[in-house]
Amino acid sequence: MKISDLEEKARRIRQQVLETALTGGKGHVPPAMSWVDIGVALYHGGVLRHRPDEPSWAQRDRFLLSKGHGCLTLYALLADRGFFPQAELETFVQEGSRLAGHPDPEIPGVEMISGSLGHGLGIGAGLALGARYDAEAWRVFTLLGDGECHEGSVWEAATFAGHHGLSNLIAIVDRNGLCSTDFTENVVGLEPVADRWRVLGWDVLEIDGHDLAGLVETLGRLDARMADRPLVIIAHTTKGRGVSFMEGSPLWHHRMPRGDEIARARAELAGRV
Amino acid sequence: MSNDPRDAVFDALYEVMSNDRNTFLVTNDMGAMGVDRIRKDVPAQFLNLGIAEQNLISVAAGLAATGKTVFTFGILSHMTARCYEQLRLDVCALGVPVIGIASGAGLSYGVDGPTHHGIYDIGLLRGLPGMQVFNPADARTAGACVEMSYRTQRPALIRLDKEAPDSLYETGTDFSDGMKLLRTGPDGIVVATGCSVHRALEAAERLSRDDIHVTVLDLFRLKPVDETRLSALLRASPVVVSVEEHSRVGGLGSLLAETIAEMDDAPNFHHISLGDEFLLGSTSRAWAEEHRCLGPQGIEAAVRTLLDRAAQPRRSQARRVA
Repeated sequence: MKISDLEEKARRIRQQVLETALTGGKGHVPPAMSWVDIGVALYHGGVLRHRPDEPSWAQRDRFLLSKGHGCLTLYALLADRGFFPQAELETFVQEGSRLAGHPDPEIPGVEMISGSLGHGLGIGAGLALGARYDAEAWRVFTLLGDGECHEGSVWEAATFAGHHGLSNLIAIVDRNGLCSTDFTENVVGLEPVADRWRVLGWDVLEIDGHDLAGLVETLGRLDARMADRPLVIIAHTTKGRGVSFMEGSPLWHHRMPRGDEIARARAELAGRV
Repeated sequence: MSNDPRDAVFDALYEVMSNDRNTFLVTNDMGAMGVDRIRKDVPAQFLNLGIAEQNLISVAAGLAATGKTVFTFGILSHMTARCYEQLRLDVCALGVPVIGIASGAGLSYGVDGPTHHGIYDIGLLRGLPGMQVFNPADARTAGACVEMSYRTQRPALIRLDKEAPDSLYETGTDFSDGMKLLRTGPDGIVVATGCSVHRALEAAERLSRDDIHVTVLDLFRLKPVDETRLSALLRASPVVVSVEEHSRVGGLGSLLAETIAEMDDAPNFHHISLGDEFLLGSTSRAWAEEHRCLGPQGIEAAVRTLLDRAAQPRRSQARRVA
């Protein structure tokens, strides 16, 4: 897919995220918006090996959304790829729906239950260990929130993966600078983020998490990487990306747009502003 | 065969791991002779993850999701409470075969203080859908728990006691039903688990000298329980006493109370446990026997008290309503 097509895809995924949340009457819209471009690069940019009609295909790359509250983007991506019908998005958080406010493996294409933070990197390390033991070529991608990196279990897992040189494990940190109510650096500082991973034995790349050309190029070259270390990609992003009044604001974590905000958000995502 | 349940468990595990390259043993830096043999003979299937129990369980779950059976080994209190959420979400919600082998059931490490007391975990783990909880009373049962849990390919915890009592069962005993009748009698039933089974047997022996004959049930699988069979056994008994070296909350006594609550003809029931408290400082099994009635004399007294009450139905009814 051409970069301009991927950009258009990302715009439509953002629209879907908003509409799904509006239909359900709730949802974490800004944390979903921040990783849309990363998700589009993974699922539409030819990075993740996957089969929507065979979600449990043994050779698939495993994608773990460790920041489970960003699931509106995952749902939109999985529906768009055909893991489940697009119409099912309208059932989001409705009683009996598979699509709850945080994801679980009942949903085709979802590998783990997440919503409680700090689990995905450890599970990912275990998956990567199993793949290496079996000499399998599939890889593990784990998307972490930066606020999630306040969890101690993240660093237990990072230390373990670095020690064992799990080169088939790729962590992506959605570094939007915000946790739930404030900027991470105001709450408990995480900087220097890259150094933290590096000293634990990880290769570190820092990229613009909204630059689809850069994302596809970086993620597309992973197989050529000669490495005996796990890789972390620190993706610099903007929480709420695409809706100006949500962008980078501590007010916007799981707040829902109301009144005029809805029309404004729709217009901005449609490119009319 | 050694009477030490740790030997039985690691012998059984050695057998499993030698025959199945898709089994792993992971530990939080906990050693044992049986662990050393596995590390030496099947090193590719052994991992010391260091003192990081949350990550240990997450890694075990991920590894198990690639088609491996992952046994974990550590101290019971640390391997259940510290990583409870990982057990809940990464292991049980995914339904992957992560099987905990954990030392320090009850007051095995009583002198080491409350951090090492294994007296809260049954309540914790019984609350996890899909979890199996084994609490063997002797080495033969303990070895069988490894084989049974391996066959199920489901989440499990096997609690290990430090005691090495005489074997309760013959070689080749079928343990698949999760409970064993050790003696039978018409006057009541003592349901026990783990080390308390031996105290219950001793109490039953003492009672028999006064022509009081009680059934003793070893409930070594606390989840899942064959509730139909358990209810039938309770229904056949005028009095029920449960004994466990565990907190009053969530363990065997709670399990029996849940079962009895659904019976129309509830028997008189008494629950012997460690109560609901921190046992600060150094404590021991002998202390618990004396002060919390967990020994043969305490069990015997509980049976006699209930039999007296059962003989006075009107008072007993009034008390129950109150």
